[in-house]
Amino acid sequence: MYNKRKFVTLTFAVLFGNFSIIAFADNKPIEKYDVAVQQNDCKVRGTVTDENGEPLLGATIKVKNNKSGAVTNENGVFVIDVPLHSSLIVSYVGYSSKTITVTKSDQNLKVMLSSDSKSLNEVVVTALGIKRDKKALGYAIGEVKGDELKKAKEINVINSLAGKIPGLVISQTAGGPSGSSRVIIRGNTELTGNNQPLYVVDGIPLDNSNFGSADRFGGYDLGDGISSINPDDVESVSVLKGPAASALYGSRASHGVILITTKKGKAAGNKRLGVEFNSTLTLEHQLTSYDNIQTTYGQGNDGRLTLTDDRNSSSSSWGPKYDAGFNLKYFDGQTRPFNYIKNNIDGFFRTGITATNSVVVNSAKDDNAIRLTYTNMTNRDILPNTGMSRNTFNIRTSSKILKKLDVDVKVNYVREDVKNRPALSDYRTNVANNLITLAGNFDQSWLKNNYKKSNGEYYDWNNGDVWNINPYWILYEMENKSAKNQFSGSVLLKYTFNDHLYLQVTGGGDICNMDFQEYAPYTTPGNEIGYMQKSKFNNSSYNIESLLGYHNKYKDFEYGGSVGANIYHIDNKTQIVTAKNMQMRSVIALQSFLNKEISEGSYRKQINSLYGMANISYKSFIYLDATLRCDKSSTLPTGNNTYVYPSVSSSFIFSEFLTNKNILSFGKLRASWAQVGSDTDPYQLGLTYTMDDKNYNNIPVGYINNGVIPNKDLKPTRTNSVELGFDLKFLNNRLGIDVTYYNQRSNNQIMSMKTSTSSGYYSQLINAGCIENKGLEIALNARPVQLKDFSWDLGVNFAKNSNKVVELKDGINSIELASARWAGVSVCAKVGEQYGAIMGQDFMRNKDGQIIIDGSTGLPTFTSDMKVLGSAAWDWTGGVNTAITYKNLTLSAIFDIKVGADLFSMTARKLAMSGKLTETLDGRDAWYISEEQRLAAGVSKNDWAATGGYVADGVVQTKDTDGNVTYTKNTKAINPNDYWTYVGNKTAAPFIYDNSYVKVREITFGYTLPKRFINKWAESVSVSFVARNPFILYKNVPNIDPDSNYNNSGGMGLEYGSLPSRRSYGLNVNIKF
Amino acid sequence: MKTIIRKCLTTFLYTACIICGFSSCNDFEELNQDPTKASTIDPNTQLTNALLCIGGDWGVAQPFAFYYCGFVQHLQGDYSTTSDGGEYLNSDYEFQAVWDRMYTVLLKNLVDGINRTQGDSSMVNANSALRITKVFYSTIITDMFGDVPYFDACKGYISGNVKPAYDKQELIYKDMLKELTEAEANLNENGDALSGDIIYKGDIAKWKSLANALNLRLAMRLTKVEPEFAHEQVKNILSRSSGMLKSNADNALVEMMDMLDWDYNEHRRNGLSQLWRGRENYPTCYICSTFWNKMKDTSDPRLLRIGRCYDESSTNPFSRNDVTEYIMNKSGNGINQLQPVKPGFYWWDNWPNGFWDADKSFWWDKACRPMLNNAFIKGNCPGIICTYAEQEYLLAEANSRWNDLNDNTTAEQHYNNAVRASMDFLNSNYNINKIGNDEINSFLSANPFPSDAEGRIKTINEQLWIYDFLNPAEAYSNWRRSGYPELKSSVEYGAKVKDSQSIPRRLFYPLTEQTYNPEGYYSAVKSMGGTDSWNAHVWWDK
Repeated sequence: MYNKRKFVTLTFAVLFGNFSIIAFADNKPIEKYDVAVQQNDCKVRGTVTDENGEPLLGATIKVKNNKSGAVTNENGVFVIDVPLHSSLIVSYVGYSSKTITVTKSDQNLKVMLSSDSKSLNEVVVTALGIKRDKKALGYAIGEVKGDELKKAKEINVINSLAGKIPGLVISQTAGGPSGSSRVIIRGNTELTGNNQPLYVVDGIPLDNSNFGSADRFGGYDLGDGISSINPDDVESVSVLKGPAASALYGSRASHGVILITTKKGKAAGNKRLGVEFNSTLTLEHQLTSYDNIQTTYGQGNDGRLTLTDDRNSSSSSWGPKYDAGFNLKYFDGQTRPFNYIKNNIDGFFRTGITATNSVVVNSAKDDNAIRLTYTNMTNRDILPNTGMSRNTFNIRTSSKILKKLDVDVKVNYVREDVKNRPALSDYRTNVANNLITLAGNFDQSWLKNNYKKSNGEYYDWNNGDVWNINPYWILYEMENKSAKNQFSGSVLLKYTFNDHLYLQVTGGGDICNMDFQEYAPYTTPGNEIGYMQKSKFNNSSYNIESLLGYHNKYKDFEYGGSVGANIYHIDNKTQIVTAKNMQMRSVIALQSFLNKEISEGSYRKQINSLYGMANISYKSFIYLDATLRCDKSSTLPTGNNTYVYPSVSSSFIFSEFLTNKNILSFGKLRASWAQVGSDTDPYQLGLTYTMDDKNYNNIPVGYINNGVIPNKDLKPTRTNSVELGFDLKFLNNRLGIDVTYYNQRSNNQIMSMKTSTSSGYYSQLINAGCIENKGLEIALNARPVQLKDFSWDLGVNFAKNSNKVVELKDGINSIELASARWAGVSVCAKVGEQYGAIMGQDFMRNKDGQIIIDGSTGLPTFTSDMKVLGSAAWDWTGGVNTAITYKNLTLSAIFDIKVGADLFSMTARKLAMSGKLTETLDGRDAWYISEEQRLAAGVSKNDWAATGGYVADGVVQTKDTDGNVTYTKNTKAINPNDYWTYVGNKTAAPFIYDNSYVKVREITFGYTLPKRFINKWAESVSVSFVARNPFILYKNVPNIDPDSNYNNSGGMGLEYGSLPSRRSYGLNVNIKF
Repeated sequence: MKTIIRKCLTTFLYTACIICGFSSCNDFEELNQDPTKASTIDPNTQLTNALLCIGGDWGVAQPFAFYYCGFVQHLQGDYSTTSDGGEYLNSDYEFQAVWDRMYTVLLKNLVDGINRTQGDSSMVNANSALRITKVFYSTIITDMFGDVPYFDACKGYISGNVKPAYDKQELIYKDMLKELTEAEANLNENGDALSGDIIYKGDIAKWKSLANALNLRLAMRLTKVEPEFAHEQVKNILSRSSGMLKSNADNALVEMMDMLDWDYNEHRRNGLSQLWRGRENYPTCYICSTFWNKMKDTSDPRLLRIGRCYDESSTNPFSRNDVTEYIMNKSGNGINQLQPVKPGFYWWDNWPNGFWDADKSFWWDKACRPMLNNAFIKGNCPGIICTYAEQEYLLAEANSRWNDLNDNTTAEQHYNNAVRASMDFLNSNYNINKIGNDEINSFLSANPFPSDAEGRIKTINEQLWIYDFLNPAEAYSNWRRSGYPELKSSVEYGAKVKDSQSIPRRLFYPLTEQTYNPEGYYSAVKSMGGTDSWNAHVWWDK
């Protein structure tokens, strides 16, 4: 039986054993490798430079089949004595190695190394961590180097990938820096799942559980597992997009795989010990602000403001016109002029600061290397009293314990503390909801000094409105906190029998404990007796894998294969204690509360797998791969829980047949077919019961736990995909284009299909449906200009995914993925439509599309059935990366483009209903005049014909006695307040916006100090100015950032009460010693 | 070479065996059992859950508070009560919410409990109590919508039916009457102990009386559509040896706890009272003029027990000052100074005239609106299933309609019992200024029981309407059935309305039913005349 403690102890033992080998084995400096005493008849002296002729310091020169070697000095010069006809291998990190045969004693050997990015033989990390030549792959793979993530850092590293890889769509929630991210590769393949890819870090799948997310009623985004990866440790990120790429990771990879390879210890130039220091300091400001707001009318109702109104109407902007001559007495007893306050809400936010400092210590000797990293990230958010910190410790050692045995051990510890995660959506502690509707004459800063009475109780400012709690009380008195401790480690043993055969065993585990605490002090509106909730998450998972690989050559054929086995086990436990009725008010602890309710939850499953793959190639121009995997999942019923799926892929390098490679230097065609099976969440096969956690006079209360009808006959989901593509490089690799077309169909989906609740359940778990994703991905890389000191690089990527729900089940043609808090809106998968149709009641329209108005009320009429009002899926997405290099200066930028999805902005709805949205100005003046006339005439509302007001755009339908229908333009003037309140409750149509945007994700301006300036004291120094999300070049949705979803699952296309997003500017310094 | 390969394979197989060894410890089937949940449970705990929800589920109570209290004009003026129940706003969100709550929380567990105890002689009392409780809830939902899923409802797991047919209300009522009859007969004082009974603490005889009283409620509901059938049913009920509820001591009430919590799953406090207390600091449950004037015109001693005036001196409703008498005395206008809200209006419409209080230098206006007495907005107000007073009103009506009931009590006696029990019910369950016997006597003598049958039926049902202000589901159904009191719509009071010109007779089906149960939904809509309308009458309201 697996034992966590044993595993940890073992990992430590191996780790420190290894460390001591390196640290204490040999203390001699290694200016030069020991030169074996033998017959060395040649003395060679040479200079190693890069393409620009700059000398390379610390390039290694090794003699093939010999232990001797040398390292270049600061002038790129090396000297070595070698036997005649021996081969020198000259290598430098980031450059292609060169081999030179010594034919004579040479005192003036010149070696120029070219940088890797231009190398044809790009090596990429593929499934199971196997490094392959990129040209051998029959499928598309996206790659990002760690260096690209290092400067302009995102707090969650995954957000840095935005705009960099075609078809990879990254959306952040409105949860800010501590929140999670939604990553979708090639569209949504699953109807009712999270559609998130699998993250694999150095061969160990990472548990990316989202600890908690907001739904339509609100909540907190508690972040995810991937956010704790330290950008400084990332060597490269590979994105395996299609099932062919991910077939070997099994069911968990059915939405693609993101492979993260972290850095290993390595020799730092000519020194035993290398130290690297990387520091980024950025300032954050709000990027978006509530900008579509009328500035004419202040607080009140019906155009009037009564003297008692200051407490009742501060969230209603249906009052009179601003008038600086008029004074209003406010909640705090102060009298202030009734005028519009500019930049009022913006004043709530402060300048944020994020500091990230990391130290990397590298050491290597022979085949042993160690890398230690410590990173501290401290963030002070733009919201008052909000911030987070993260400390990451990482140790990685790689060594040869025996001649043929490589050991690679990694231990990572992350401690993350977050203060005041922002509450989202309709949560009462969502401060945005209060700020959005605060009338323009009411300065938010007045609330700052008056949120608490001298006795510590809540200072009432709006009649205790529970939906508009003073935001300063929320942030200062209702502080929520979370603390996360994540410990992960892995051990890799690789035994190389000979040049052809190896056996690799990997074991890894991840233990993550997180505590989250919400608190509402006594007198908080809605929680007057005090409230506290402590959630404890104890997550653990382990993964054990063995792989036997074989590789050989026969004439012009190269062939290889491997077989492997894997066990993946996850066991997550949750405990939630809810405490109410606070008695000891000075101590925020559970024992201060009289009533406590406890509930426990569990999520555990295991998948055992066996797999194999084979590949064959002929003369380096045709490659063929095949894989087969068999999974056995604990979540499926016995009998259906074992499933097998294959994949085949092929690549053909047709440029091998070209004689003239001046124009087309490289050309490859690729094709693949694959199938992936997938399982589901645990405990879904049978009905379960639970006891209520609330004590009713000590009498047990019990009920059925399931809201979804369990299914004891579940079968695995199948996704079939075909992918075709080509990869061309022109003009000596100055221009490259990579095009991929794919078509994938997921059948037999395990989905939770909504049912009539009269069945007793909200949904049933079924195998049904078919969803199709077709798409095109294009990546273009070019170096349009290259001069001696100047170059310009440009990368453009484009992806179009067209997603269609082909069929559901039993005549059901639409299922709900998420529902909105207001206006009866659902985000649905509807047969024949894009996944993510935004549906709800629409205005009733005539044949010409005019809105039909009810003549008696002047209000619009509505359809009784649900119409498609928009689509939450993007038409296409893309990105542009560009970099200009002049000598040691580099200027680069990344643009992120998303086009075509719609967003139901409940922020706009809320603004409209509260009279703050600009659109609510229509008809106000006229209505208020009409009301004055009515009051002067002393006529009741029903008997008065309004002389003006809001006239809804549309037609009134009349039917004559013969049944003929005529339409006349609506002329009835009504109170604009009535119009917006009524319409806002009935339909989302006026608040659905095209959510397309173009954002600048990143700008960096870097300078690397020339080596000659710094060689005395450091290896390299670079300084960069960095900016993350500095501008939104285009957006259509008012008031908010287009990336404002409140959760990262089905709730796409819905936004509510979003806080402004952040832009950051700062400086990055990198010093290598 | 070959030996190397053989060695490798051996090593690999050895590793594979170690790996498989791990899995044999973890039996997959056991791994897939949730360690925090049970695969079975005592049905008595499900009975407790269902009974608690009677008073405790604010999801179920919300349409009562927002629609029913407004429709029958008990309360008016609070934003939701006026917007929904006064201006007749068609709000799908509310209909969906109560539909979901009824089927997925209450009926689901009752159907499951009944299914698991069906035919089990050792669980006969649990089975019968669950069936009676199910009838209680089924009545509420069919009275709310008309034809609804009933026979096949909540069997998504049991039979796999996820699109239950909409059953005719007539068949639902006939089956519920049968269920009550059978359950009453099956209840056995020597049978299983009813540990989940939080009403009578396992007293089987009282459960039999409760079954009969509910049976009477259902039978009387049919006087409009099938008077003869109702007549037969009532005769039958009265002939049972188990007897009816004998006094207020037999009332089927659920004890609730004194707490305030907006947790949707909190069932221990009275959800309806909490909704009346409201989410804001100052409760906004204002008495409707119709209700107020009826009690005022008949010198009903309950008038100032139900309606009170409060100032806003504290943010805690229970610490505000009760200023009823102060306002009446200070203004010099007495009871006439109190200005209830008219149907279809908000509390801030037609702002009360008020008066100047020189002593306090204060203009009394808002406080002149009578509100619901604090006694009725407490978390520990009991959950009401069925009471003696209601039973007596119905028996008074039955005896006024039919004179062959073999009931040895007259209509007038039942009526007097009912009125006394109504007053006593408030005295003994709510913290009000006690209504004295003399007050009851003078009320009865001031409002004599009419001699003609129609006059009697009118008086009885008007009184039942007053009594049912704490039981809005019965107030709305009994008003629709009996036609009393004669209510004018909000339009007739000069209010603007939104989605109906008259008081709606039912609620709309939730829109999602069009998508997830189209056959059932459209068959029900078809029999209503082709469109889902809340002006259509349910079967027994024809």
